[in-house]
Amino acid sequence: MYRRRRSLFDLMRELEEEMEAEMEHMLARLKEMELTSRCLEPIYEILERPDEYVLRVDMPGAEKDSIEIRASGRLVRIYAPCNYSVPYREGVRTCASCYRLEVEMPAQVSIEEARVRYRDGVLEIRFPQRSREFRIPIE
Amino acid sequence: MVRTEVAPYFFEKRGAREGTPLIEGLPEAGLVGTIVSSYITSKLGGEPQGYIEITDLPPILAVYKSRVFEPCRILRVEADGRQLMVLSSDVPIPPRGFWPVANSIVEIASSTKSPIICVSGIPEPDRLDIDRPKVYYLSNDEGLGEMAVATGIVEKFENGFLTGIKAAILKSAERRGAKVLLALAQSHLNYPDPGAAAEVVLFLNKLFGMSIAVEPLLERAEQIKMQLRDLMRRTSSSMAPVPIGLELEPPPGYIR
Repeated sequence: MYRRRRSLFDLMRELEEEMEAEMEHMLARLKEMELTSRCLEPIYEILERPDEYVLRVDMPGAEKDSIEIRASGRLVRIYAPCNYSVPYREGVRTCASCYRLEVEMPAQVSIEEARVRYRDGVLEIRFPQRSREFRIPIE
Repeated sequence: MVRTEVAPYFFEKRGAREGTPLIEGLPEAGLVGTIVSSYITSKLGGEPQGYIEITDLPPILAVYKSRVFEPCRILRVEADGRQLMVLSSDVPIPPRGFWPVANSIVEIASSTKSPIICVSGIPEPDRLDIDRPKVYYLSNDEGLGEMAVATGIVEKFENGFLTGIKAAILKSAERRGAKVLLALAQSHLNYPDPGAAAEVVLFLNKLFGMSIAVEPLLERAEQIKMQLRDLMRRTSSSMAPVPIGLELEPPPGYIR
């Protein structure tokens, strides 16, 4: 009995589909968690620049003065109350009362040295990179 | 190479005037296209004119006020005596669907001799520092390009890369001789950007002599961002295989 040999393209396609299924599963779990806890995990990105790490977090509707930022080692925790309410079905709204994020930075960061701003619903925290480098002379 | 498969589509030609511009506002960087298309249709109301089936997705239908809609649909709107067709999607187009969907868009536009106006964001890392994002244009048609310049509020897209559905549309349009105008606003990459979308609406206003107010869009920016965060997350993950980072790079060009 012959078994059809799968082409490289079939294998790549399968891999792609597996990754998509995994991503879909993750998004579903995240949404379920948000709906049950009524706490949103904001979309964020980390940019690594030569002299700083920039953490940008999209938190529309948060009040600037009630955003809490804590950092310990590489871990940054952000919490902010919000009033998220989006019409879903007739008479039903999806609601959430806060944003909560726990994110690991590429290196240890210090909140005391950070510069923070909140603009157009985006929180931006700039952590200076603590340089542990030293120059090695070339013989 | 232009791949030739065409996604199944339905398009009702009746009611669509010849030459009616087709505005493509599919989810991409900053969801600029989504915000523009959805804002225009919600402001002006729209009549379903057709849809494109995204074959790479399992069956999905959107329901609004008990009416069933295809997620990737074309609505016909009338604005200040002018007719527009607006293509939007409630779900991101997976990269495997770029060619088939782009080919369908070009085929639909060609059937009514419509120019395609692709509205999208172009990622700008320092977007937070920009109060009024710039809108860049690029066209494969001289007349459309001149119309864009005449608005006085756009700059020519000189150097850079284009990726995703707009690149596929431009390539497919070249093959079929369709006219395309890209309007790309500086935008966030991973967050919905109503500010960038507002600049595109202002540009479309000038381009087509319309007067769609953008103030409500800016006033409701935070609410819109909240409403679109799930689609944004989905779009970012779906676009992971797209080399969107290229849009931040200058092309190497010719070394002289």
